[in-house]
Amino acid sequence: MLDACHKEEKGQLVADPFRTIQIHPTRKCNLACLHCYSFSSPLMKEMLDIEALKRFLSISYDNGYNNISVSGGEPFLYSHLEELLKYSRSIGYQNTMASNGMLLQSERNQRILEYVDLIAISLDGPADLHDKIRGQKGAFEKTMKGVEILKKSAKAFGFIHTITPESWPSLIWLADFAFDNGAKLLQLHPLEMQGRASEDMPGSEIDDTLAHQAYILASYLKSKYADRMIVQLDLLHREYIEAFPQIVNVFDRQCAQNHKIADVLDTIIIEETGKIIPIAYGFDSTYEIGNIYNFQNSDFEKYSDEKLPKLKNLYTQTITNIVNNRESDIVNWNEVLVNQSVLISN
Amino acid sequence: MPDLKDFEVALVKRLGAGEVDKVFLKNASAAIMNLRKNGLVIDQIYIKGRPRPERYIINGTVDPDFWAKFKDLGGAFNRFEVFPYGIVNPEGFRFQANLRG
Repeated sequence: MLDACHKEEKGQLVADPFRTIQIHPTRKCNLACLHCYSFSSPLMKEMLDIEALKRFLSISYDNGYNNISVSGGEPFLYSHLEELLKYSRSIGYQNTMASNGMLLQSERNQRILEYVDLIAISLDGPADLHDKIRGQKGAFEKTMKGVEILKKSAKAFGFIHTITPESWPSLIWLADFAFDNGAKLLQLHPLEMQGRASEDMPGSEIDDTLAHQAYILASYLKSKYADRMIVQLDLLHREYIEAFPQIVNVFDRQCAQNHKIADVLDTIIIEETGKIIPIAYGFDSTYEIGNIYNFQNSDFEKYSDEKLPKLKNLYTQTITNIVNNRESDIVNWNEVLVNQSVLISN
Repeated sequence: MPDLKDFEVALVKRLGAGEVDKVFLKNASAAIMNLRKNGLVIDQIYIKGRPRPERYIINGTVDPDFWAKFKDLGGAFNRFEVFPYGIVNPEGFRFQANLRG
């Protein structure tokens, strides 16, 4: 039986190494992308307090989290980024980051790269499409200058692509482009109609036809690149979820039985307000874990006792809905789960 | 590799036609999903002390008996992925396995 808590390594089952805290330290960004789920833009000012963030990271590390993923907004615009990454690494975290790659020219930002283990660069397709989605002519070229810096510094990097109705025919080009530029990872994430996408990209929903097209192409690319470049698609087939619910349902996994928070929630999110939520940005606040500005050491345990049963019901309900909905074969699990969290709360 | 490029062009074209042929899309996705369900995508299986080439590319049809024997080799694969090339060209079904050197 599959056990997604673990991976197989030299015949031994060992714990999955990644227990991730995704941090959105600011929604300030040098761009205002059409598909941005967090409405990030140059107009945003709010930034997380670094001392509160460090304090929370220390507590979380002691509770089993070992990987941070800094997102945003554009993380290089977070004024305390260097201090954050130095600190997190010093206490044992692996540091990863998602960036548009356009701000890597500066000395400060190249110095920061020293503390980054893996950086993922957003790429929306060939130059014209990328610039259109990014809302800035020349954005593609600037991003590629950043990629050149990553290549010269021998920094491990990947690309993240948001699949849209316009971009799917370019997926093969995109994978070839990523591989030819030395990427180790290509993550393909379907557009979610949240944030600015819901306002500025009407009619761009990932319908079942597009989901099938993306699923088939991504499967081909996984086969093509095998272990030379990881191709990750954030879509699953309904029947696969039905056969192996533990792929998505953390509560079906053996390691969830000890009720240790990091074994149940392998990803938690810190929003730019300091709010801590499970799984994904936009998760309903009913399931809020706390806030970094007043978080106490015992709050993880309290959450396990008080809210995990409710979260377990949410997972069960979501899987039941997916399995019963025969109209939709291909599923963006995180999106469905987030939507269900909001629906149930209302 | 011109043959690969030809295949890719044909694949995207065929999928584009899926706008009006949803049955094809559903069947192709189901075929891939079934390969996965049946364990034809295997990551990180190792073998010790066996010299081996860097890569196998095998053309043909995978049948369950073959696959059972294949796995009994002891598992030499860093990563194993399967794609049913036959969804575009019914005669071809290639899988590719990269072996730990």
